Order: sequence, then structure tokens, then C-alpha cells
Amino acid sequence: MYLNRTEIEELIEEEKLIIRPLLDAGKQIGSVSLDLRLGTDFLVSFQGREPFIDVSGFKEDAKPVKSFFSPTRRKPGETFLLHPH
Amino acid sequence: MTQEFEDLYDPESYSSKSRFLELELCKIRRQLDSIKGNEYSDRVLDEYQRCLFLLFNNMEAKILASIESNEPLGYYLAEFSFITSSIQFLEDSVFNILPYETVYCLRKALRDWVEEDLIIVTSLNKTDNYAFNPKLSYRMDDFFTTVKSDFGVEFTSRLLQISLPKQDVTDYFFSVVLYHELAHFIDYEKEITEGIMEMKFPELEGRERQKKLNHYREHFADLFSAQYIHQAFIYYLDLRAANDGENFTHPATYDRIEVVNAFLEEEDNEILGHIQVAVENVTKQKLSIRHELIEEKYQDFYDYLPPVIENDAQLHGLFIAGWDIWLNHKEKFPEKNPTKIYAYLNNLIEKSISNYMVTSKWNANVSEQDGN
Repeated sequence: MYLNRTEIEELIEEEKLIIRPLLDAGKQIGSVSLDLRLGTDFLVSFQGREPFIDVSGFKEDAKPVKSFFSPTRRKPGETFLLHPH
Repeated sequence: MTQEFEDLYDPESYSSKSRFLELELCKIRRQLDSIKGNEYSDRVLDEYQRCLFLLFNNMEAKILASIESNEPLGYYLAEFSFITSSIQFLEDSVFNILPYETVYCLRKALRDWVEEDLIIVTSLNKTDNYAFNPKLSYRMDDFFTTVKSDFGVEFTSRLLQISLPKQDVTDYFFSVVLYHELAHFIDYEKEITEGIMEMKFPELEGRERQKKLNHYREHFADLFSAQYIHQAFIYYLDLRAANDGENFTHPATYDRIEVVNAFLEEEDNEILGHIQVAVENVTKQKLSIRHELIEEKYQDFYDYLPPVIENDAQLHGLFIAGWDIWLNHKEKFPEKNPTKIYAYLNNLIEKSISNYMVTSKWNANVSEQDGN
């Protein structure tokens, strides 16, 4: 199912779809699309010893998910490089 | 100390002095190297760091030239201390660490009172203490003039240093204390409470005068913060020092709350009256309510949405909202776990400030482009 521009605008108007901040609705809403902008906070993953990140929540002694990442910030408009793993 | 060592070590000898200086230079060089390549939130900090390196390089060259030619040595204690203090605050003000959103709000408040574009920098400590450090901001004119004439380096900005606990960097409840600390800087800068002492208590001297001055300093800082964050600082005070009586440095908590409430409820109060007159004499403006309560936006919090902030008064109102919701409306969250509610409130307040910053910047750029 696709939503067209009018339907997206209606959903936003009725607050059934909420995007904050929506800086430039005219440019961000396309004919059947909505462009989202990245924020300024990122989590960069560490190259650790564990073979995988356990997000099952079943193991009490599993390392917390946040321990696999390091937070970093960028100024609005600044670049963020996603390095290959 | 052995005789042999005593023969080698004479603190007054030229060679000992020069070695001390060289050691100091090495230590500072290493510290400076550690901040090379830092990413700051503000370009002015990049310029400040450039001046710091230039000052050090010029000092080092001068000292080493003196040693080489056996000329008398200066110790440059003030300059060394200035550089090391600056390094400490620059280190904790890199973009990844600085409590950027809080500093943005403080900067708004600062600009209401000081025209100069001071840079707020932070130092993260491992205690529970919040403090304003006047070392790099208070009465620096003479120092900067000396640095310019002796070493040819011109610093165009002062750093306003605020120290806060590392664990509270993203805590929007406890960081209300920073409005209080900011007030201490403004008081030092404008000599507001000093003015009260001259005007109202000229007969006091020594320790008695200092105690009275200390108390007025605290009352002023409480009132200053109440302009922006209503009773939020009082909540903090109530939590940390509810039953504290007066001492040499602080008035009794009960009295502090009474003065703030008189201000918020526009009632007469002698201390408030003294402070208002002094503030108006110095700044040509009065302490007044500079926040807006945002109760109509509280539903956004309960829906886990960052409220949309429309102006600076509402921006300060976010800090009040956090405390008000926590104390009076927490049960309206669908979530009942207090730890999670605490995290949600902090995240939503931070996101709200951040959205306001981005939107303001975006709108300013759009207006600029339209103007062109």
C-alpha cells in the first residue's frame, strides 16, 4: 500500500503521523514518499570480542546492548561516515 | 637529603630554576598535545585553542632563549596556570562530552544580561558538586593585556567555566543548579551584591561583612534562577538541604525559599527589595519572570513525544515541566516504572531542546536566504 502526498499531509494534519521536527514539509513530502532527516546523535559499534550481540534478553549475564556501542554527536549539517565492517 | 644530592640541588641556582621551567614546559606541551584535533561545538573555541597554542609556543621560545643566553628567568606562573586551566575546560567541552542542550539554554539566559559573547565551557567532576569557577572569566582584562604585550597573542573571548558532576551531564532535573551558578558569574561580573553592601551595610566589616555578602550572593543567585526556572531550583534545594540552617557561606534554606516565593508571587520582601534596586542600578533592568509554563504541552510527554517549543521562555519552561511532572503528574505516564519515567523525561526534554535548536537554525538560514 502506498500513501500519496495528500494522504501523508492529512495524516500529519490529524496528528496520526507525527514527525518532530518536520523542517520543510514542502520538500520532504514527495508524491508517494516522505524524506526523513538524520538526527545528530549516533551510536558507533565497537569491534569487540563477542561474536554477536545478544538482544534476546533471556540471559541474565548477557552484556548490556549499550556496551557494544559508543555514542557520538555531530553538528547539524556535519558529515558522518559509516565505515565498513 | 644526602650531602651529595644537596650539592646538586640548589633551588636558588640558575640551573635548578631553568630545569624546573623546562619540566613545566614539557608537562604543558604534553597536555596541549592531548587536545590537538578536538572537535568543539563552537568555532570560537577553535580560535581560543589556537591562541592558547600560540601563547605557549611564544612563551616556550622566550624561556628557552633566556636559558640559552643565561639571562634572568621569569616564572610566568599566571600564564602557566591560565593555560592548564584552559586545557582542563577545553578537554571537557568537546562536542561529544559537552552538555550541549543545557549550555544552549544557559547561553540564552546569559545573553539577557551580558552583551559580550562569552563561551560557556564545562568541566566534569566526579563529585556531586556544581560550581562556577571565576578563574578564566573574572577580571581578565589586565591579564589579556599583558599576554598581548609580552607574547603578541590576542584572546578575543573569555571562557565562563561551570563545573558539574559527570553523571549529571544529561540530567535535566539536577542541571537546574547551573542557572544558579550562572547567576554567580553575573553577580561577580556586575558587582550587584557588592553594591548592596555599599548601599545598605556600609558599617559592616571583616567577617561579618563577608557573611552578609555571601548570603546576598546566594539570594541573588536563587532569584536569578527563579526568573528562568520558577521553583525548579528550590525543589533541588529542598531535596539536598531542606533543613539546613544558616552558616557563614549560605543563608538558611527556609529563608532562601521565602525570598524566591516572594519574587514569584510578587510579594514584598526586604532582601528581594534590596536586590531589585541593586540589579536595576547596575543593569537598568529588573529581575522578572522570563519563563513560560508549558502545562498545555504535558500530554506530549505522556505520549512519549518531545514537546514543540515555540520561544525562549518555553525553552526554560522545559526544566520546570520536568520537575512538575515528576512531582505531581508522574502517574499520567502509561509506564509505571520510575526509572524508566526518569529516563523518558530526560530524553524528551533533551530532544525538545535539540529540536528547538535545529528548527531555529533552519528558520534563520531560510530567512537569510529569503532576504538575499
